[in-house]
Amino acid sequence: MRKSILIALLLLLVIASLGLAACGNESSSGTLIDDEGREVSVPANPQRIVSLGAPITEILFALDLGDRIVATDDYSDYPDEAKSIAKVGAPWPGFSTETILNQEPDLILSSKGTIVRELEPYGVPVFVLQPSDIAGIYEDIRLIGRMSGKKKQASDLVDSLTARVSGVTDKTGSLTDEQKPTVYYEIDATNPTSPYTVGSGTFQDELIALAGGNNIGDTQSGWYQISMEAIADADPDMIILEDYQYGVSPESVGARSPAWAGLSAVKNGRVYAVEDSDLTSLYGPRIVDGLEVLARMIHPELFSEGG
Amino acid sequence: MRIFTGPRRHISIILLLLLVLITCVMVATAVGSVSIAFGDVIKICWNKVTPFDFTPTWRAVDETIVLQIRLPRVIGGALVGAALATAGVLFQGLLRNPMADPYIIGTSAGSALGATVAMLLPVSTAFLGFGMVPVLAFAGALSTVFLVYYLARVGGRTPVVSMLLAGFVVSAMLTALMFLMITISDTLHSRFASVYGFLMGGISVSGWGQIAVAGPIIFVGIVVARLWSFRLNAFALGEEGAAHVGVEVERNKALFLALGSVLTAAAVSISGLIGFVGLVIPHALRLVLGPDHRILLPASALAGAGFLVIADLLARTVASPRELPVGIITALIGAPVFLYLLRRGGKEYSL
Repeated sequence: MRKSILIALLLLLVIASLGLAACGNESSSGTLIDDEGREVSVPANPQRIVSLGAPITEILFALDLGDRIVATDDYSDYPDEAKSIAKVGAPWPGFSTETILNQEPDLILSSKGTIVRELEPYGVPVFVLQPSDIAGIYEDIRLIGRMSGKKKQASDLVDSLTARVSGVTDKTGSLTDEQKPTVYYEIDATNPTSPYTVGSGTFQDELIALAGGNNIGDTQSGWYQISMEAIADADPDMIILEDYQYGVSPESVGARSPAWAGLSAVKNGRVYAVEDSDLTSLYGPRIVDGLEVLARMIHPELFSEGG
Repeated sequence: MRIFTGPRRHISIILLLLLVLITCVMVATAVGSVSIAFGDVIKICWNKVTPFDFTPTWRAVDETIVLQIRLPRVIGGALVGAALATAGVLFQGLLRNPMADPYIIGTSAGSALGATVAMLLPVSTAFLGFGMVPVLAFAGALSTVFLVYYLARVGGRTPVVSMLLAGFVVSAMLTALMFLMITISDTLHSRFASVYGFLMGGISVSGWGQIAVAGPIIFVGIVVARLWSFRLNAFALGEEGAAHVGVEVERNKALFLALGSVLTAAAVSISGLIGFVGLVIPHALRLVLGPDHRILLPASALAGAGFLVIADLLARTVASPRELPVGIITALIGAPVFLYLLRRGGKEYSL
């Protein structure tokens, strides 16, 4: 009995190594499982890719696949070259199916959304990429590399991102709970009584944790409106404003009301602005830039400017 | 005028409702997403208003939460509820339309457009706790009513039907404009959660500064409405009937419209668009108390205040520390209560 298991394992190993050797750095056509659990049969080495998601476009460019993109969603604006690629709409108010099909794509990479079902009848493979954490981003980079013959580049990119993440976590990983400042992370405070914050399961929450902070909003999941009472009660050590992009300056927080002015973070001047929210909210390779930005805010003593 | 009842009954009804409101305010101040002992809440308030102090056995932050966050918000909710219910009575009486609510003449669309424009502006001026959103929401609401009134005015008269139609059409246009802006602006697009928050309503009082501005406007508005309640009763006779009992119809129409709109705009500026209160509280009280505005107006104001205080309490505690839009709660608990009253009466009911 034990012997047969051993043989089976050996056989598996042989098959697996054969498979790996066969792949090399060429693209493999075949059936892959996307982030929605759909089985999608992807063509070998697609040449006309439509990207319906700004972070997907960023990944494609990072893998030197920019010149194979024939169209993107309206929000794909990074790197600069992406701006000049044909645009086909956005999840809201909607994509133009005809404009997408008019590009005669051989592969459509898309974020989750109704457009995926809408495109299914036309015979073009639609592969959904919607990672929910940084490990998922690595996975998706590898998947894109695998379908488009850029396995080596994908694995190099993931290695360099992993190394940079380690550069942060090597310093923050050993911190005790007391050494981790509590963070209130603000998305939008149009209603300053119950501003939007980030809970568990968001990229921002993961970044705060990796950067050595303690997100006060992580008792709930997703984006949500947190009660001002809960913020005052937690009295966070620092406030990070992602709504800086809407004109909310760190100085303006204390002017909202005496309760805001009384928060320790405001009194101690530990209110920071995320100047480019694309770094912290999009699942592209730049999320590691976002991590480094947050790490410098949360632990300036560990991360010198530019380090 | 047999429908009018004696003042003695009025006083006891008002006292009863006042007592209910005070109870609601106390409960809502005692309960929140952060739990603070009821005794401590009382002592914190006592220390604030009297020269005799209990020795604090509570955390400093508890005092901030009760006095700077929870109490202003509860009072804000009471003011908004009172303003919306009063405005609802005014519009229903003035327009003699059972579907009338404070938003019927275009205040909702006007304020929503104003709030949306404010969210587009890359500034974060905070003045007395007011950002750009409440200021532009207030301005949007009032200017829309002014526009509708002007459009509906024909030869020195402003027929009710013209006003309703003009209000509907202007609202549709402004709403379309708002969604157009959201559609083409990346900023608004990514801030849609906040636009949505405004449309669903949420008490947005983060300190006493806003109460100090909106409070007097709303309080004076309600007192004036009560003083004018005879004229509103006269409107129930129809415009001709009102003229017969000596009420200047056109002038009063404009006055009531202005009064109701100022109340609504003040409410909207600190709470977004809270539905249901202004429509249903007046109807519910009319079912119970009858149509005399001398009692209906103050009773609606008090009941609206208590109702919204409780609705907001639920909005901020049922999923705490997550907050829900209060507009969802007002409809979900208000509708069954109203339907119960409607069925229980068993008699046909008219405005």
